[in-house]
Amino acid sequence: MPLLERARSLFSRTFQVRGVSMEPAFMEGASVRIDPFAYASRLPQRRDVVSLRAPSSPDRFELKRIIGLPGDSVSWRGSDVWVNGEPLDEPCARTAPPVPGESTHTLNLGPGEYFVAGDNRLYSQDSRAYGAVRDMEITGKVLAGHTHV
Amino acid sequence: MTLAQHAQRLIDFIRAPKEIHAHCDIPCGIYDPHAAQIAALSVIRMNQLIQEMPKISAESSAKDREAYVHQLSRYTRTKEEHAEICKHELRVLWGDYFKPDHLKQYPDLHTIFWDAMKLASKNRQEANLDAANQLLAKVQQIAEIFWKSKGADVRKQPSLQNAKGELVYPVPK
Repeated sequence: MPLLERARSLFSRTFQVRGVSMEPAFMEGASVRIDPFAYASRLPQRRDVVSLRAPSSPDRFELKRIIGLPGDSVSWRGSDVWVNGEPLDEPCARTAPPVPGESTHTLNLGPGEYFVAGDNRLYSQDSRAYGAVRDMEITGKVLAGHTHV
Repeated sequence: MTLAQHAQRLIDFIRAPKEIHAHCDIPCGIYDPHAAQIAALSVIRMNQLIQEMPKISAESSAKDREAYVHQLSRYTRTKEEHAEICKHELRVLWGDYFKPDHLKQYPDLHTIFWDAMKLASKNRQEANLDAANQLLAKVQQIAEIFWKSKGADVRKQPSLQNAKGELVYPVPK
């Protein structure tokens, strides 16, 4: 592990996952280590798994995956997501065919705005419901190698 | 990101709970305004019970006064709990179910929710049967919009509860 990452991991903290919206990568009860300084020197990247303040309850932290970056146009229909018109390759996601008649929604992300979603798309409350999250609401990143039970 | 923002992030992190949530309130896509109506009806009933309580006076015995205070406390606590449940249910509908598209069809949606939330707060603060009836009426209005947004007609029918009042139900077209 590079020295900087090793030093940062000293400040990481372990959380226990509650809920199923990030399955199968993060099963309920799993422990994850979050690095609060991950984005001190770089911006969040697509597919990063991050902790963020829950928009409906700011004193609660949530675990979600970054899908859309600032400047992206994110569309979704049910559990399927497109970024800038292209279907997203999501090997981790659990999706299902859209319900007939379900409409397509689009969100254009401004500066500092991110689109987040749970991997378990049918059972996730995420940007499809509460819209974009601001960079300030992202509180850390899951450390690689600390992602499972 | 500024130094202050990094400091805030660290403080948040240190003070953060040990759990991180990865769930939605309920399996996504399942919403229902019935719980908000029941909560509003419960607030009405508690106000009715408070009004129906035998009054105490300076001549009342200590035992009667004690019974009065105890019962009033129970009704008041329950009234507040159900007003808060009503607010919670409304928040879920407002924040999770309704989308910007709905505003095109119901341009007063935000005002209606805002009024309902304020009424629910008023019902926590006061023992006020009029305010309780206004809350139920506002929640009924939201229930009608909710079911119509899902393509259903609605009907009002008597609650058949001690509180009287009506509840809004969907009628498939």
